[in-house]
Amino acid sequence: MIFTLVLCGLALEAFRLSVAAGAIQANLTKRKMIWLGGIFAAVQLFLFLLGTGFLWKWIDFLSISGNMDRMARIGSVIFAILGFVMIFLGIREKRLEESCVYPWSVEGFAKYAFKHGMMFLCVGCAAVYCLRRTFWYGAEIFLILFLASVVGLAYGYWQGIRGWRKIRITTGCVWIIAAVCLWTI
Amino acid sequence: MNQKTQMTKQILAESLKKLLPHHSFEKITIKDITDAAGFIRPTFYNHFKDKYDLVEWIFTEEVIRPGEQLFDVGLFREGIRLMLANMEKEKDFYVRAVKIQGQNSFRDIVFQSFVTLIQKVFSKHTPFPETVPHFFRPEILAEYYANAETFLLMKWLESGMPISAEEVEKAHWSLITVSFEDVVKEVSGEEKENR
Repeated sequence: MIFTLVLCGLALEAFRLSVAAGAIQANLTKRKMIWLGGIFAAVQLFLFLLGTGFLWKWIDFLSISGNMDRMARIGSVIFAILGFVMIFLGIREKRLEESCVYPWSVEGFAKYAFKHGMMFLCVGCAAVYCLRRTFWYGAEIFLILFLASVVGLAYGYWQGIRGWRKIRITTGCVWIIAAVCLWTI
Repeated sequence: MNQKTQMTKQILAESLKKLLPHHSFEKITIKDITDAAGFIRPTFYNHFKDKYDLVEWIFTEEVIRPGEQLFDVGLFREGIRLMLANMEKEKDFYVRAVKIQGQNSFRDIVFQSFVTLIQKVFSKHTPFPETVPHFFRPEILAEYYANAETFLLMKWLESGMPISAEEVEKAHWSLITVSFEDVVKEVSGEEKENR
């Protein structure tokens, strides 16, 4: 259940960021969308795993890595903070201007993904509890981020930026539900 | 610029003009503009950077360029008259466009267009020697006159164009040709008393 929520939240955020990236492009071919989607998913997965690794080291340092309850509580608090921050930003956020920029290069898009990847790092920290089969989870996360990113780029390119704030608020709600689920385990 | 490009730009401009009376400029998206024009969204970016760029193009094509042609042959007063008359024709659009605020505000678009236009006039008609005093340098003078033009135009538009273009042109001509001293005398009624 929690892992499904994590996947939903990550997919929503990847979709939102990709919509904004696609909406400011003058020319975006299918091939380029797939390339950019792959780069975006790879960068975000890296940040997610970095967050997981960081928290794992930290709880190891605190010698609580065997205590699943403590790990769940830590994850729950991180999800709750993340959820409220996302909702707050979603409410406060102004309308995003659609202005054409130079075509995304591989390097430029990777930088864009890094710049907006803070949330993926935090979710990686919070999701330590549910990561037992890391490899498969990593593959699933990559796949869902890749799909969300490609769909987001295509949607942004053809439809422009729509529902940007609503998606952010929905993502915030997903993190709060995840926080409640983790707390009540 | 080829005819097809110009035609596409014109259709996009008409589309924005159609949308502006029903929606605020901030809420109009590029998709709305292209949908109303019957194009796909990416077409917009082949011609304009963003919707502010489109507004600038409309202002340049409808107001600045026709005036510039008269300025080129030294008909300054006629040029201003034509510019104001063209704006009056598209009153609905300009009264709403003047509300565009922020980094790419309509005021900035108008000001920049006038600076460029006046600089062109100076470079064409007046040879400026290197020894010219600082405040009479062409770039400073262009900014000075552009500020005056922009101020008058913005006041007219912000108040909803309550007087005709002809009246604005007369007032404008008086303000830039009559000295400050004469304006003070006229306002205080000194001249009437003297007479």
